[in-house]
Amino acid sequence: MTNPTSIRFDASRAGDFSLMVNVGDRLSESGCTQVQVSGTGALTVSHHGREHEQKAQEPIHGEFAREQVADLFGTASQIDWEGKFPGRPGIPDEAIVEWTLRDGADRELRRKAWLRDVEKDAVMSRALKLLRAEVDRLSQGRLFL
Amino acid sequence: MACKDGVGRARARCVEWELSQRARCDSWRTEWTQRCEQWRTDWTQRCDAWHTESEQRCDRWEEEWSQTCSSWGPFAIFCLIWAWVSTWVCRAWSWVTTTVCDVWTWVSSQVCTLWVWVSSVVCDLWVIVTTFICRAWVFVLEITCTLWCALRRLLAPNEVSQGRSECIYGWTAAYRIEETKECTVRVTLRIRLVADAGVTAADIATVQARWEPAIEAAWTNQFPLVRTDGSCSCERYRLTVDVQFVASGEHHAVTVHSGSGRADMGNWYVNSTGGTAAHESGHMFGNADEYADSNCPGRTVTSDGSIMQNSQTGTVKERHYQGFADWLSNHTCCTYRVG
Repeated sequence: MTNPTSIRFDASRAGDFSLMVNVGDRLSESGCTQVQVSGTGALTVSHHGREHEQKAQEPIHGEFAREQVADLFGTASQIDWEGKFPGRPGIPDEAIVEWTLRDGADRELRRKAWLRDVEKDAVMSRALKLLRAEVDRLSQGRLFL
Repeated sequence: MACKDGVGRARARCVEWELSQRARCDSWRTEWTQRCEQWRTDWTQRCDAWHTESEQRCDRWEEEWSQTCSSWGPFAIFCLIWAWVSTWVCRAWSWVTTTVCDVWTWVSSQVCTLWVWVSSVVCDLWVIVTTFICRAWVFVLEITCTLWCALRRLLAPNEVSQGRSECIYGWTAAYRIEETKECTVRVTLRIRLVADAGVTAADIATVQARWEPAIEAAWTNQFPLVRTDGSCSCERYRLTVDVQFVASGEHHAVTVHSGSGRADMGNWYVNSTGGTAAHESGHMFGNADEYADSNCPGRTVTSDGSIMQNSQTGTVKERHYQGFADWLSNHTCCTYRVG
């Protein structure tokens, strides 16, 4: 596994790419919601949290439209992957967003950021918005990022 | 120990000291006056006895020689002269010794009286000086206490704004706190709700109606603040929390987002429950989270049903009132604890 400073999405080999986003912490009150998107558009949403420890939650599967996938990965590739975390103290209860972008098996980018910083960041907020809309649709408002 | 009480106790001790020392001086004076009086009486009696005895001895001497002289025949005149002279010497001796005795009695009594006077003066001076030192000490204590209480009061402003940090989180606890005449501590939390995109005025009205009573019910009068030291008038205080949604002059600004989401102290959602609002208010009062967090392995995680551990089912615990009790202690200069 190498640590590149950027990964460019190439639609011709979309199957090599994947994006994983974790929001929150599985031990915390709201738990952790995880979204995994493959370069081909396959999407899996799962939730891990205290309230779900008793009964396991089945992951939800969905599909992104081709143009949305290109938009999502194109946006994700523009994230400032070298941004420092934590750049500031968190607001109490503020969730942490962890982005992981992979190209094949050996190239990976990781980035952690406070949720409110993600919402204010032009690039990350766009990617988050796309993911939020899909998670909301698939879980019928039950899960959120 | 409460500062004011310490001063009161020190003042009482000074009064106690003064009274006890004055009593000792009085007792000393009375005792020595009596001793001197006794001394004078004893010596007066001794001198009188000596005088009587020596006069009698002289009388006997004179009488014996008068009888003896009658047997001397023609030389009786010499004998009588001898008797008269020796008796005169005897009486002179009696007079001199009695006078010496009287003088001794007078002088020693005067010395004794002087001793009583001097020692009484010294004793009174001792009382005055030590009482003065004691009162000066109390004065210093009182000044120190006044300054200390003033400093503590400075640390207890009505508008509280204190930086807090826990693990990787940092925030400012801010609220208004004041003591009312009815032994009540009134906490006011002014929150400005900022509507995010898609949140209507009707949404704001709805959430206000949900969050305000929830916060107030969760935090009002959960525990009394009980006095443990000091002589402040209120033995126990009740605490009320008043939430005010304001357009300006807020303690905290909270952005209200549409739908559901991950609320934090500064971001609530239209669907956030009253429990969530009460939990976030706990941060606004200075309390830290008590649930487990992978990013904070050193965090104190509780399991006693605390609102800071579980916003939906938890309740306010005594420790969450500690900041209010500390403020009250500083404000009143007495010591108050929760519960």
